[in-house]
Amino acid sequence: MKRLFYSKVTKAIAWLLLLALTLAFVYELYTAVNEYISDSEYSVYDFKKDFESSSTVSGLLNTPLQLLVSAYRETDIGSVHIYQPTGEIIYMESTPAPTLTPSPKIVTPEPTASSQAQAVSRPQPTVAPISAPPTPSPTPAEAEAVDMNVYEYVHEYFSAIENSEGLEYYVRINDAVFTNCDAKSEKDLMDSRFYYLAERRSDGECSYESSGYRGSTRSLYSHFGSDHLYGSDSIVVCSAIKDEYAQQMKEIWQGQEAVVRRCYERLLVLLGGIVLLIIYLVAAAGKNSAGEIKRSAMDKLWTEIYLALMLGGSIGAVALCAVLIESSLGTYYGAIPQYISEPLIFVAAGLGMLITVSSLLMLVRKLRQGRFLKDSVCCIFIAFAWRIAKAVIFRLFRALRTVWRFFARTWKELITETRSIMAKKTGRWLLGGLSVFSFLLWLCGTFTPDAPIFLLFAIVIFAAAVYALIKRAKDMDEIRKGTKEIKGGKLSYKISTPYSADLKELADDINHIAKGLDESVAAKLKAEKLKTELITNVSHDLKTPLTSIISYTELLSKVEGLPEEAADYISIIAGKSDKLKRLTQDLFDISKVQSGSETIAFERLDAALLIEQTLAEYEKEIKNSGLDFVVKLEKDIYVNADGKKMSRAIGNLIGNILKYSLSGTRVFISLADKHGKASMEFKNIASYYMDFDTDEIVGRFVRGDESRSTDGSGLGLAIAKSYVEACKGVFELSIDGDLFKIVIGFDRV
Amino acid sequence: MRILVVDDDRDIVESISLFLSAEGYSVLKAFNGLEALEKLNENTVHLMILDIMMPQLDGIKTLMKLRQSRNIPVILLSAKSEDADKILGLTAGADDYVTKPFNPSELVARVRSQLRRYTSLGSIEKEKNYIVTGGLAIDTESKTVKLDGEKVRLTPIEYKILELLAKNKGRVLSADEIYRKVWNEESVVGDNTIAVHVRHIREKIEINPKEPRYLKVVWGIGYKLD
Repeated sequence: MKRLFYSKVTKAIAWLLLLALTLAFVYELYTAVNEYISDSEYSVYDFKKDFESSSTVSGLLNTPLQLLVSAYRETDIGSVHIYQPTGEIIYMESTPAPTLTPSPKIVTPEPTASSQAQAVSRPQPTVAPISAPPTPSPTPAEAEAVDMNVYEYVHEYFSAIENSEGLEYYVRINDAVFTNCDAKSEKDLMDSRFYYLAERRSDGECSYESSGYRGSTRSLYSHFGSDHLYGSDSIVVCSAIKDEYAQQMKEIWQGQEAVVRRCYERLLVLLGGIVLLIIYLVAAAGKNSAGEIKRSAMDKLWTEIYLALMLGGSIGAVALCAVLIESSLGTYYGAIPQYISEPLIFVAAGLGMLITVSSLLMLVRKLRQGRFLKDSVCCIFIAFAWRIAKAVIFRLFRALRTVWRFFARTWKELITETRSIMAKKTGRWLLGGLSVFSFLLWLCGTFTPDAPIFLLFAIVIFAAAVYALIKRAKDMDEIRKGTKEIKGGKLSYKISTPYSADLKELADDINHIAKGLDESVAAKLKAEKLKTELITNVSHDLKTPLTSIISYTELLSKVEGLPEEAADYISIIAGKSDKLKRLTQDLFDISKVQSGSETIAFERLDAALLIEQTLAEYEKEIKNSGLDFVVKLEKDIYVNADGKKMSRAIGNLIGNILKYSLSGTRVFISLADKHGKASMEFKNIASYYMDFDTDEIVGRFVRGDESRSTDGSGLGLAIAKSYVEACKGVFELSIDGDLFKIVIGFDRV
Repeated sequence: MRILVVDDDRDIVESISLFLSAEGYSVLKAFNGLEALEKLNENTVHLMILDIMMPQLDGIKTLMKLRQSRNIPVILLSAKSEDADKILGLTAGADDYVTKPFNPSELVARVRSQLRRYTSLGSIEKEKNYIVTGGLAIDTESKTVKLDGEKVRLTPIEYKILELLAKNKGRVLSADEIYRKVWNEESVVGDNTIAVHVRHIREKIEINPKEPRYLKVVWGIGYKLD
């Protein structure tokens, strides 16, 4: 079914049918117009009514008054067409006939008393009908001549309907009567079924009366026109249709009505067929027998072309057909003979239909393909224009944005600057001044009539000044607090953004520094931890083989009978392995404390006792050193620290002194309260030239002597410093010439 | 006297046994905890030197198993030198703790000390006027001190200090306190007499004065005897 619907054969058949129907339609229309409609005097509109209200009746009844009015108007109108009910057209030249014989029916009006008053303007009609044709002359008799012409014209005009088959009339102008029947007065005609009576009194009053006609009074359009035409003439016009004639006409009318109706019905059926075929074609358009949408070369043409073809084809064909039909009917004075125009009608209609419908179908195809707008040159143009416009608008917008940003930045800078100024001393003075000023203003306000304004002004300024100062003070507090926190080691502390611009900058900078510090400290800690783990493992792994080395060296030293050199070598191995043992332990210790994995047991320690106990451990070495130890310890100084770690630290310092002091010099060891702090000092004179940095010397494996020939791991000072710092003490090392000085500071508790 | 040496490092076991053999002890060797327990069941052992870090059954676990039935002295041997490790070992029932790398002579001295104490324990305990701490015995009547049954020569001051500490065993005595009680005077500033005396005592009664077994320095606070 679907296949059939979209198949080309079906479409072709539909096309053929469509063309056939079109031609049939045009033929029918032409025939109808030719045969019935144009021949009939009745408009299509008429067939909607009955005969009694048709324009046939009104037109016929109208004729006498129309003629009369025309006669009066002859000076204004060049010619007049009068349609007879029979369809023939009376065409009249305005120039009156030069030979005019008085009609026997003209009744010479008697002068009346009423017309006597008008004698000046109204001449005696007796003279008029037989007078010569008027020639314009400035004589006093001119008016007379004109008036005379009215009767002549009326007589002349009415001669056209004098012999009318069905129409009777009775016209009376003043006393002159024109009639084509036996009527003695208008009353005689008013017995008829259809009559129309129009009366004009000499004072210009008009009245109309009709009978039989049932249409709108407007269709009985003839009436007396403007007053000046008639002057003071009293006129009666009565027209009537003979009853037999009316009956006869009615029958003809009804017959024609039936014919036209049938004609219209056929046209409607044909039109319906055409419309249905078009609908089918539209529905089937653009799809092949499989129901697929296909695009052909024809589809590539612009939408507008098809639109133009469709509109042009339809309107052109209709217009051309109308012209041709009219032309071939002879109502139009065209140059085309009927034998040419008649076939042309069909050609025009067929072509018009072909072009219109095919264009329509092309448009439908475009819609189906979704290309209706895409193929439209207008749309393409509009899209192009829109793109350009968009670009322009976008640029404009950007330009505006730039301008806006410029202003915004300027404003911001202005604000920042203002805040900065406020932040400076001058700014504070300004604020202070403003406060004073506002106070003065307030004072002024209280003593002047403008008090409320001054007062308000003063309050606003004062409030603003106070607000700014309070904000500032808060900012400063926050920064102070933040800095303290960061200084105290809480590196993750973030100073909340202050209100004042300059302080904001400061706070941001501090935050930044703290952040960087935090990060670097974290990174360093991590690296330190890794290192420590490595060292710990290595330390452990070193100890086991070292144990064997020491043990077997000792065993070896007990072997008897070895050469002397061998014994020397063994003692060297023993010494070095012993050194290695200490080194391993020291390395392990410092790694632990520096990585922070050493647990520190804080206790309240007697600093003097601590030093004494440590010195006691080195009693023998001190005695044998040849150094003069001067120990001055203040009593009752207590510190909070780990005793074991501190004794190790102090022990290392003493060991250091013993190793590196110039023989025979004094060594000063003291404990004193300095500025509320416990301060331990260790001073000695170096036995060598101390050419090193104070920071360097506390580093790992750094020793004063480059040769590294002396005992010790080189970790002594580093361990001492680390332990002191682990106990929250301060370790300071200074070199002054040959004086080597270490100060350990602790908070007293 | 038979000593069982346990360590997973064969060289160390070998060297220790050499030293001990030289001192006249008979030595049994084991290289892990399980083997050690086997040897203990099969032989009469008077002392055990036990390494902590060993495969299969480590030293601490072996020690705990041993302590369920036997009371022989055990000297732990370890590369772990932390206080926490020492405490763990001693709590588990060890009598001594020696860190690697050790001095062989020191180890032998400690073995000797432990064995002497182990064998002479019963006789010392019976004496009334003796203050006994481990292998240290102080006769308050004759004012003599014996370490593992051997007499130690102390000066009168040294003896007084040691006696005072022994009477307050486990308690930390401050330098001032010792001074007052020994000399019956107030201490003098800058005088490290007590520190020196204590140091001397330690040298006399301790195998390794730097790692005292009995007389301990509580740095910055005082001294105590454990």
